[in-house]
Amino acid sequence: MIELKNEHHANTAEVSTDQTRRDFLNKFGKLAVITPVAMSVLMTPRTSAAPKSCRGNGTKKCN
Amino acid sequence: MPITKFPLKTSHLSLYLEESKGIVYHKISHNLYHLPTLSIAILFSIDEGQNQQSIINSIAKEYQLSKQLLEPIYHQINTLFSSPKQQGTYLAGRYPEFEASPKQVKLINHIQVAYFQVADTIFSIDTKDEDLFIAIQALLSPCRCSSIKVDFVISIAISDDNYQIFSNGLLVETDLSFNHVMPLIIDRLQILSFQKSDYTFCFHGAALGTPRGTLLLPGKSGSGKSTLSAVLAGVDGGLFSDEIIAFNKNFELCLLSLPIAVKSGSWKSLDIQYPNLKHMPTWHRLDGRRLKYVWPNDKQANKTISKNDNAKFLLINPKFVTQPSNAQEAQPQAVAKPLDVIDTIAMLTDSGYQLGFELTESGFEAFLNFIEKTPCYQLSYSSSQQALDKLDELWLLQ
Repeated sequence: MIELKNEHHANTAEVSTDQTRRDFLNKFGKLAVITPVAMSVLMTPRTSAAPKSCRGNGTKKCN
Repeated sequence: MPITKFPLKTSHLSLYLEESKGIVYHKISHNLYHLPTLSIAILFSIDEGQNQQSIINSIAKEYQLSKQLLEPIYHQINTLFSSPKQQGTYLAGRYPEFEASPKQVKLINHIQVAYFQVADTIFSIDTKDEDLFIAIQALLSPCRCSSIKVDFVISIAISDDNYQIFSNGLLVETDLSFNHVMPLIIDRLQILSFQKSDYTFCFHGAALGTPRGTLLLPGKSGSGKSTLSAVLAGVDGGLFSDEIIAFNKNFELCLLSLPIAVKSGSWKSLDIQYPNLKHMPTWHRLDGRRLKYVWPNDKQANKTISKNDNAKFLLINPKFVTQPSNAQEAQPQAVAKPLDVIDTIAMLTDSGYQLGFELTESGFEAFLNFIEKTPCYQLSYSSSQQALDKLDELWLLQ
């Protein structure tokens, strides 16, 4: 199951959230230097389409 | 790795973390994004309310990165915090013939017409070309039905050796040669059938029911999934589909009983298991690849297997590797590399996907939970036997 962090108590959530941010940066900060891509789109209406095997051949494309 | 949902101050964004990577769901655009570590660090800072200069300065100093590198990354991440309207809808991907009724369609040939069922969808196919009609009837004979309540009327017209395909009266393919028609017909039957079902998530890949559980083989075209599914279907279980993995909201698979498309590179390796393959006609995809169709030996009746029936799932992204000519360099056995949740989702979407609903936060979280519970691997192999042996090991780990 997806773990939910600090859902219920505002004050403790704020402190814990800040700590979680710091923990994340401390733990993975070194990895930041080797990630050139800002973000990639996984799902969007524009790319959602019936999956097909046909790749087209330049002059004749798949529909 | 467990997925952690991280509460952000920005209400229209949801962040899910897995070790050093993250996924952001944008509640207004319904888009899903994959963020690496640096981008997550910037996201946190923007969410906290820090300004651009402060963020770039502190990250540049902390991680000794240039501001020139950070600025474009900052601007990209910052776009997530705006509230653009949703551009397009996930439901727009349905084929156009859903908007056309089959009832008013006049058949091209009232004599050479046959009816077929795939999942819960009924098709009629008619054409004046006798050779084509014979070939269609022969290949799709396991799908024959007698129902006259047709969902889609597929008519194939021919003029001067050029073929056209109509679906519910709409021209959907044109300027085809004889050899192109069958693959396009099979594809269309497949796609219309799953699009008509109550699917939520659909991915490009094969799905098989085996005695040990349900095997999912997502991947791009040419990765080896159809060949591997042909081998497995003959050995170990029944095929849901060799092209389409379509889940409903309960993550039950849609059964799409159609023949397997085997590309020419695999004909020789399958000729023992499918001795009739050599006699099957050769068809061509539009990109020039040649293929033949075979039915798996065990054709399941139309049904779905419910995950609630305690069916185990195993997800394998196949990666066929051609053996080098030097035997010493040959890979002795298949290699299974575990995939974490975010890498699995990236692979699934990159291989081809379609959603049957507007992606909601709860819908995405249900999908995330499913992937989290499903063992996922990338399997590199050089022969079907290597793949089968490794699959045996992986099933035993579950």
